[in-house]
Amino acid sequence: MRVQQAGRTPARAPAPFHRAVGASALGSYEAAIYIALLLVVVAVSLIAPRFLSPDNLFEVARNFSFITAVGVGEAMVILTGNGGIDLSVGSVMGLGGVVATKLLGLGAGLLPAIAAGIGAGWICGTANGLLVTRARMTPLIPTLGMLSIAHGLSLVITQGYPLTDLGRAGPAFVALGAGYVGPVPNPVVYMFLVVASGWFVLTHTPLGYNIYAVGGNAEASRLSGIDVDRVRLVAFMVSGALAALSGILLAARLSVGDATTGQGEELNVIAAAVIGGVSLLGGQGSVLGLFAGAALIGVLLNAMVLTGVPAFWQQVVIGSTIIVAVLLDRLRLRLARA
Amino acid sequence: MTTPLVEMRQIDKRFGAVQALRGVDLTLQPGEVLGLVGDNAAGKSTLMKILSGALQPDGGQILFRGEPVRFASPAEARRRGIEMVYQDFALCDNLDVARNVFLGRWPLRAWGIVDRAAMQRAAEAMLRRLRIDIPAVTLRVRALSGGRRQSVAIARALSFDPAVLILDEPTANLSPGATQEVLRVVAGLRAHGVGVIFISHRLQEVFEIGDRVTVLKQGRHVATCRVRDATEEEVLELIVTGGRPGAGAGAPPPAG
Repeated sequence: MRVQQAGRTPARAPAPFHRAVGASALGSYEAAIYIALLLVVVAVSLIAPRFLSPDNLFEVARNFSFITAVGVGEAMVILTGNGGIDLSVGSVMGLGGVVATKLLGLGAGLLPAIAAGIGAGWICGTANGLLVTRARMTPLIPTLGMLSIAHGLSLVITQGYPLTDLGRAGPAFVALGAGYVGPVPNPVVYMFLVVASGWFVLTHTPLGYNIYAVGGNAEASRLSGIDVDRVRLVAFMVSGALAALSGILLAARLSVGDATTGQGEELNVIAAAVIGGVSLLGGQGSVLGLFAGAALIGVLLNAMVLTGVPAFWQQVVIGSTIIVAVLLDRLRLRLARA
Repeated sequence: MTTPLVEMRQIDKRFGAVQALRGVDLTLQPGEVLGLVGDNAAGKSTLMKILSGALQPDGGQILFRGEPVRFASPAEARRRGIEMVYQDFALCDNLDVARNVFLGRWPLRAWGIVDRAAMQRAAEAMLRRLRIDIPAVTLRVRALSGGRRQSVAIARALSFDPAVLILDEPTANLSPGATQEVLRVVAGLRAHGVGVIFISHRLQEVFEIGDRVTVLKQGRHVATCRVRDATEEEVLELIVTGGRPGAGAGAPPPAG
């Protein structure tokens, strides 16, 4: 009786109508996270007025831009439910950057090098997706394996040395990551493009609608004719490709291809998603929430720098923020039920 | 009499050593509500899963509008216009009513973009036609009561414009008020010419909205009678005894 098992969701008392109506535009959690972000921004700017200077704000945005962009793909994977998660995004960022810079060093043009880097990430994502949908592995396992594989491949390609020879297209490549559009750093422009695209796909296209449906009830979706496996596969492909593209831009900004770039970023990416209200159970959350989650982390980290808190405390703060965010969400649910 | 919408003849089904269905017959006329009753393990759900393509029979024949058919999957049954609403509603709790009605068949406008406004209008029209009372199609299904959730599931099934609608215990786990709401919706389907097969273990519901009732026991067809020609007591007797006086004691033990 697979139908019944999959169809059952934990019983939850029906919420009052007015609450659900109010939640239609932005989920109430997303609204709360934006309010939290605003409060933190106000507090930080009171403590350290330098925070609000345009230079600092752009610096903050540039620092969380890569996490946010990678997070859009990660969020799609998580939204499809069934334990959907992509642990390999950090390593795939590194691999994308390494493949692109290696090819540049070998004399490849800018676009072919970038395309090859994205392709490498897409292949990683496809492998993850196929192992989840065809071999029926729980997503934790293949993506954990891919974390190791992608990093290992980066080491094989670089032989452990940073790739600094970026060939004839090097200057154009570096400008891509380090340049500006007006006063806005390119990575920030890139982040907004990715967030806008991710938001559009998830809220306006059949793929986005299918992602939320599959994450809500995979069996119901299947009975209604949605190709559940294909939706999950596509989410992993997007996650891999976006991670690689972001890693390429990060390599461009740092003007070096390094196997260690992006390492460990998967935790920040997942933290941003969770703080932003993307439920690890699937079907719940949005790209706009993810953006706020990443921004909140970025602002907190910047506040620590501005107020002179030792950098060693950063990980402690991020970890605590995740736990507090999830605790508050639980509390909110409990209050709503009471 | 017109050609029956559905005719199932001598359907057999076994699961390993368990003979779930033995030569079961069932007919459904257009615009009729057929109650399908029997105690646990009578084979009601198995028979309906065969009709909806979720299971394949081991023997027997299915005629749809007089023509022999064979459904390898629910999708094939759906193409013929046979739709089943499962007991657990099969809704996406995280989505609103409109999206649940059009799950997986999102109306599109130019550039492959989902036409949300059209979807909501169509869902509203569908609910209005069925006289299902839901405050707004933008409400998440999670926020709805059990009866309304069941109504949304029925609305989705009907949005496929089926000729046959199978409801598997649609009122199980519902409050009396919600049950009445669902029964009203089902009774209203007759007006749309849809043939409804209504699995239930509550006889009074079958007598309230059914035209005929088919009784199964231990995988056998016991009897089919018109509701107005029978009483609840008589049908209950058929369910318990299998139609033969004293059969309950002499019959082989239930296989499953």
